[in-house]
Amino acid sequence: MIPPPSDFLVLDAAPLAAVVLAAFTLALLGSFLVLQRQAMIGDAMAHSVLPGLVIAFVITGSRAPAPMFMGALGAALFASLAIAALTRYARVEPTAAIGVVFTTLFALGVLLVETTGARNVDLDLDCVLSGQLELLFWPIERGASPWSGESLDRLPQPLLTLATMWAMSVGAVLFGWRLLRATLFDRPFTQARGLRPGLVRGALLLLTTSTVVASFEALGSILVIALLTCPPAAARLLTRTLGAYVALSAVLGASAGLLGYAFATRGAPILIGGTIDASGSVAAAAGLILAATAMVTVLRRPVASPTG
Amino acid sequence: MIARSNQAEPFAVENLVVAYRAEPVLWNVTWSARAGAMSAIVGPNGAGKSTLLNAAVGLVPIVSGRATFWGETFKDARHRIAYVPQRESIDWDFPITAAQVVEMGITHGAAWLVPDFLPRWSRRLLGKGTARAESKTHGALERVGMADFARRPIGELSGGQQQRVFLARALAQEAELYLLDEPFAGVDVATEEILTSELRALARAGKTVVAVHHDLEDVADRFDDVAVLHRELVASGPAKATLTEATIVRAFRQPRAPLALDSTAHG
Repeated sequence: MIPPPSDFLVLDAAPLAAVVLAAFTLALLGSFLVLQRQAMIGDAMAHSVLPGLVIAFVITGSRAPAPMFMGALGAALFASLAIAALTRYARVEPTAAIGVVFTTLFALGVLLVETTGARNVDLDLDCVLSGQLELLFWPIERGASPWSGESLDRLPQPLLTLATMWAMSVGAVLFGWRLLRATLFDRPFTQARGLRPGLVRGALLLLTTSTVVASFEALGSILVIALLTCPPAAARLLTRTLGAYVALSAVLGASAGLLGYAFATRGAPILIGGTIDASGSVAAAAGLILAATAMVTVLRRPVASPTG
Repeated sequence: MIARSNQAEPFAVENLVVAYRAEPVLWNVTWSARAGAMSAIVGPNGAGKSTLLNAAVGLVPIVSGRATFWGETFKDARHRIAYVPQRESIDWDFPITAAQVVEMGITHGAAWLVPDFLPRWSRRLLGKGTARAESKTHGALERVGMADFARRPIGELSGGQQQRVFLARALAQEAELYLLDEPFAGVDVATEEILTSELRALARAGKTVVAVHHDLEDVADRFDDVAVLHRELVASGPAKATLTEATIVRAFRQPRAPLALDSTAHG
């Protein structure tokens, strides 16, 4: 007798892997954004994606992953460039530039959804906000080993995309480690030495944008933003060196993914009698980790005594 | 064209014009640093002192004129030049240790791609010269009295200690020309003495030192030569002889009419 594939493999394995991979990668790359005080860039990219999706849909008439990905990536890159241009040439405050660009593009996206009829083809706003993690089931054959070629071929596409982004990001951070540290710390010096700090930042931003877009379909914009910012902010409070900070940020991100998903699918049914939205649960977990860290930091800090 | 001669001045600017947008910051500046001497660039705030260095090392575009190093362009000569940026351009909260800052000065080529959080034995396999880089880093930190702080995050050091780490990075580069932007700004007395004696030692060894300096009082004590700048070059020469009252008044007290770009015939 060959046992049938367990519910866990079919229903939970792929979404769990997706959320953990995405959380790890977003928190890893987000740690460099937070370090540059540019955490809001992630917010901007996540919101700017909407018009890109609609335009790609209108042009190609399909919701196939490739055009959707290209549309979203194009829009997010446009947002990054627009922010850079506003800051640099129009001398708008960086935070104001980010705020202006992402609200404008998001509003444009909503308008496009309403006017092009994309709304009827289930490109609805709920998906944009909270993703469709539940749709990432693994249609594994009855009795097949999960490691057989055929089973692996049936892995959902978004999971494979996320795995690719994870591998690329980890590789880039490992081999670019010294370049990242040097160019992000001292731009003028590294530029004078003949390195290309602008290129390093650009590559980092491109990688971040691609990961945001890749995570978007499965996780939705709220979760993407939460994972880009909460784990790095918590890790920054707990560490002194760059290596510890970046590593802890990624681990905290992955933990938020694991804990949030476990709570949504296993804890919630027991506690409140039904499953809850996994994206929301993971984002909440990331926020709670940050809140707990901040609290510990405040309590640990010695109170300044008036006598010194 | 550009003369390729080692007899040429280590650092020279000719008819240098630099502008931010339409507003000229440096106007037609011609000056050169004497080899083996310590030169200070002084002038009031907004006189373009830092801009002169930044333009020379390619951080700010040059409108016209040129900067040369031993007669070569900066690109060709940059391996012989150590540059120390201004304190204000740095985010001191960045989690990087003093030793890691110094290593930025001696990392070359493929070594940039070898992650240094790996265990030492594996780094030795991957990149030659790890041990040599470590001893160079240690030696440079020792010269500025910061060897005990090698593994400290830069943000936990005082302003003077941070400036000493930056000098250690420049020393580790073993350059022939040292360009420093306000190295004495906001440092303690101990750091002041270490900076002065290390820079003096460089000059004695035949290296050339050029520093943007803000304090007119001590220029003559610390530096051999001086260039007084206020958008244009006001005066230059040996420090004691050049810093006359008349020069200082010309540079610091006299309000200068803003220059306009359209008063020149462009190219």
